[in-house]
Amino acid sequence: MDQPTPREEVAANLRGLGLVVKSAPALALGLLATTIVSGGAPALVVAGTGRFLAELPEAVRLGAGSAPGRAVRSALLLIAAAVFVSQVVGPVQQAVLFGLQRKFEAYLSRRLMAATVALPGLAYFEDPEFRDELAVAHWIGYGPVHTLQFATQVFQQLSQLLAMAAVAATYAGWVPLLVVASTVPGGIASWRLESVSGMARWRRSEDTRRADYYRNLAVDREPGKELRIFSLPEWARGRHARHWLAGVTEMLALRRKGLAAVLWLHVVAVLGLGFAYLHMLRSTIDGRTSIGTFTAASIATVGLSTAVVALFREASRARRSSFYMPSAMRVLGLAKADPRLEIGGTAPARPEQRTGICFEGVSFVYPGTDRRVLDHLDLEIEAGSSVALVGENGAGKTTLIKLLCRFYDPTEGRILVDGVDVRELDLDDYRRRLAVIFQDFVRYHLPARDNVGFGALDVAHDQALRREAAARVGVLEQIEALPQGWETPLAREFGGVDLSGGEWQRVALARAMMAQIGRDADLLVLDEPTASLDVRVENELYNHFAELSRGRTTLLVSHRFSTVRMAQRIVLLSGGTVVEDGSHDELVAAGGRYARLYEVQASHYRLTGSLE
Amino acid sequence: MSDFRRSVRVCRVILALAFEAAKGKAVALFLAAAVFGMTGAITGLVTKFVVDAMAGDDPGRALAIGVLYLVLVAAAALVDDVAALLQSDLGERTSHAVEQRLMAVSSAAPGLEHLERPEYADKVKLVRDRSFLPYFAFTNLNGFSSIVFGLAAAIVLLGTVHPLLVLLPVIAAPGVVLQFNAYRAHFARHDHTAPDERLARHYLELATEPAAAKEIRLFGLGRHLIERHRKLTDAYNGMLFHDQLRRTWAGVAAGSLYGAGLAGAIAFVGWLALERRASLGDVALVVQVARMAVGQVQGAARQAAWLAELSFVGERYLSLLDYRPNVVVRPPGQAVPAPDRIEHGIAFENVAFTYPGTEERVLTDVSLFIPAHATVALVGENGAGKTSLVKLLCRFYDPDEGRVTVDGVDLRDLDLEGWRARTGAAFQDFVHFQLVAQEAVGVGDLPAVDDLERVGASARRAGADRVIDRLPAGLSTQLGRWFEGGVDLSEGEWQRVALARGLMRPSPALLVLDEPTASLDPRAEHEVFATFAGMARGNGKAPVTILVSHRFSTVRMADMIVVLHDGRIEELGSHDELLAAGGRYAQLFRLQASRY
Repeated sequence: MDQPTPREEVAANLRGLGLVVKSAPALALGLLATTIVSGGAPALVVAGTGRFLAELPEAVRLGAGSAPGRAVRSALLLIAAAVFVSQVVGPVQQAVLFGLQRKFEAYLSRRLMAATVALPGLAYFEDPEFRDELAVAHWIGYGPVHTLQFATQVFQQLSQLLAMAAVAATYAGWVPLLVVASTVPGGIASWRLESVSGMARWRRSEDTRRADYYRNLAVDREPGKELRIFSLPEWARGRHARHWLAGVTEMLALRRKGLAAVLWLHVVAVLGLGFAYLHMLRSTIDGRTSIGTFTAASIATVGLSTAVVALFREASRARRSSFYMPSAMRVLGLAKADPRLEIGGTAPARPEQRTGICFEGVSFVYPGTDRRVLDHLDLEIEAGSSVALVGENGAGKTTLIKLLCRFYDPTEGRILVDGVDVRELDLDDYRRRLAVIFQDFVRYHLPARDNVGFGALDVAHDQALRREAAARVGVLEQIEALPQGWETPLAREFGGVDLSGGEWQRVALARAMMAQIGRDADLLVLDEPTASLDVRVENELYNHFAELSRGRTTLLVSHRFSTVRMAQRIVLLSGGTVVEDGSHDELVAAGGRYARLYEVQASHYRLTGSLE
Repeated sequence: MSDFRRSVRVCRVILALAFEAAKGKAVALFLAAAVFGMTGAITGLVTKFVVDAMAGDDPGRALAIGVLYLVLVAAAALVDDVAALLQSDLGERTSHAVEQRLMAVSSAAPGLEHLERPEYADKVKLVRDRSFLPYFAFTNLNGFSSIVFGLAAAIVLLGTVHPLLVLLPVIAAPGVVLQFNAYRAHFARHDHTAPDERLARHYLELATEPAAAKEIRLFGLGRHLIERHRKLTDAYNGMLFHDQLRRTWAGVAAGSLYGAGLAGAIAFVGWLALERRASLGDVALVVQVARMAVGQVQGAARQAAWLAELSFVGERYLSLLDYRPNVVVRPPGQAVPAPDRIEHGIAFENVAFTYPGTEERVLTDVSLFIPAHATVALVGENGAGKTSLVKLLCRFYDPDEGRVTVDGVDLRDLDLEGWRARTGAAFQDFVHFQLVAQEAVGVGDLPAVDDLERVGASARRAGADRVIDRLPAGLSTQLGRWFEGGVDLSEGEWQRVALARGLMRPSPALLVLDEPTASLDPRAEHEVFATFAGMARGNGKAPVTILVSHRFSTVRMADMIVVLHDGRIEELGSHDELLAAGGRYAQLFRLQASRY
């Protein structure tokens, strides 16, 4: 992430404030109203106190009934009223701010969700900068509201500051000017120090993220086994400490170094204040100023100096999240602006004539890398047929599927579906034709109902369809035996149960089936659908496969030849291109690489003669 | 333990963290805070003296006090700057100390039970996200001492003007209680909405993180998840907000009391002055000190609220510290040293096991002897108990009944660190270490992480050398896409790296391979097994190897095959024996073989 220019920073923060208002307009209005009402109150207290102190000596001399006596009484009333208003409005303002904070955070989350899901492809997720910005946007939630809170405080403090200046000016106009002028340089210096050291931390944010990574290794559940078996806890703590230190050292050093300058400037501020104070004292001793005026003006003068310092301190604090706003706002602005995957195709995705899928000279390089994962690949899959992709790890099988789902566009060549380039198809319509189980399928920590129903959202409420989908992959009984049946959350942390790897895989398969039934998806893609299944379940799937894939164009990826043989045709990928293509028997007869790979596995099943 | 004593303990433990993190700084800040609390009172007192001196026509005294006052103001400003610096430093250090402690506590437990308990995970998350809290607790304490000293000084000064004025802070006291209760109720309500907030977080993560990106797009789930998030957050935020609004009256009531007290005090001293029972200096004093005192009482209410949140998080922190692992390590000296090599064998004796917090028995009456140097395959359907057996062998859990012995020594009596140092392992749910390739392999035997030769050899044995050769910077390449310049691997490639890591131990006594080849292609799988076969046969140093797999091509290479069903051992024997027996193994094998 580049360091933002001041202009970008201001613009982003203003946008942030705009979003706060948008998230809850009524509450924002409430905040404004309470700020205006309560903002003036402290100033009135200051003004009232000033008047009270200034008039009191004369009132004491002339008696309560005199004009100064009446002034003292009205000043007291003013103080009482102002204190009362600020005390009553204060808690209301707090409540409004709380509501605004919560609403805004939820709103920002939704904006983030909207911005991310609107990206049609996956290229952005490969981009470290995008991931950084997304992470920033995740935690920036407090930022804009803090800024707003700061703004309300500034309003109050400024009005109070003006009142103090006015009271101080009853002695002489130059007093507030001198005090402010001598305090501001120190304030600016401490503000700058905060910015510079904050920037230093920003530059080392990679270290901070690494420190977090090592921390999570030690406390999270997933790495628990390896952490223990390899005796890594001490090592993780050492790494955590090292990266933490690297992340904060420069910042802390800058703060220490900058302190001297701030101290000197604060001495300047005290000199300014001292001159004004002693001037007042001298003049009062000489009888040129009344004791009342001295009391009121001197208290206001000291208060003014303190208030200016406090104002700058608040501003420095608000600055801490403010650098990050441009990054957060950039993520929100991304929506639908993926230059690497242009959408807007309008061709209908379900033509009358279904001819199948055709990869024509397709090459692909992942963004930010330079390895050709697919290299001029040609492959034709007839409508209604089933094809298994085999090949070594890294041969490009999963990539081919990602291109077929149009998460990326090919770097070269094109993919035709029923004779039309996928880039020209209406993307939403096209994806509705796909029923896919990915190798890294999602484990939704949601009820079983959603885990299956998400395959076809529009008809997810249809219990009969869900049951059919689950039955097809043999997981219906297990789901209905769960403590709360279909309503059971599939996660212990949400009061449900945790599933085993094999059970999860079947639930994910049921989801793909749901898409097939509920969305009438006729392109079936199965990426390692049996990796975690035991033999018996795999066998059931095998037996049902013909039925599952009837009339569908099916693409199957697996390392298990027992699974591969479900398909009518087998395609061997190597180095990102098709090297062998044919039925199982043809390929075995040809005696090529497939035959050798198959033999490696099959031999294990044949060595003894005990099979019929 | 009584609530009160526990709260005190919460405070003590948490404050100890701040003091441990940087003792000198903490003490300095504490003292500075105490002095600072009294600056308001001192200012008031000085103003009084100056005013009275002038009213009494003693200009020399007035001037002298004035100058002294300015020196004090200057000193206070400088102390304040230094304190701000110390505070930010201490804040960083304390939150680092909390994280370190959290890591130590969680990873020191030798078992896995705590990690698999949702309540524990929740607490860890809570404390982790609030690692700055002990620092706040510390500033909170400072704030308190400031207030205590400030209030004490204020009460004394007010009392010198008129005894009745001492009542000012007392009038405000009910307000403190009211507000404290309101805050407490607020946090309690928060606890109540926590599960919904977690769910909202899950929706957010599903939509924005890469893990679910493919399905979200394919199934068009984005809009739907956003809508669910909206409904859920609107419901609980609305409730929390109305709750907060309803409680505003407490704040308003408290505020009214403060306001009445303050205005009353000023009016009272004004009246005293008119009656000539108080000097002008007294009035100046009361005007300044009364405002400060009221401000401090309000501050006390805020601090008390902080205390409520502190005890909320602190409770959870304390219960993490108090967690007593059910896998207990023998103290040094009492443990039997782990053997370099298994001479006799590993035995399961009538072992039964149920995961803590669940009802279902996953292992029942398992008795099994594995001779030294043997390769054993565990076979069975999903949920048969294979992985649980492996977890007991690594001593991630202890059995509920029966025992596991190594050369006759109960695993519970064995030096655990030593046993694990002689264990190599690769699991189905291996870690995708976001490290440079060399480390991702090398951490399998930490002392050898810099030994390029050993790392290279392990990589070759697991077939990970081809993965590494393809990387732009070879062994120095950052893996994964979490960090700058990282290269992501395919699932199968990650698995080879995990296997290589599992093979790093120089001469393990036990090698555990829990479905290590699920994502591997046939050639890689063959190579891996050829390697193990070589290791097993090579010499007398071969480890006991435990293999979990669904692939019979792998399983049949084992010396001994254990068929598990519903947590019991159903069959036991060599491949040929089991085929001849015609039981479950034979059935399953034929089922798979029929596809070839």
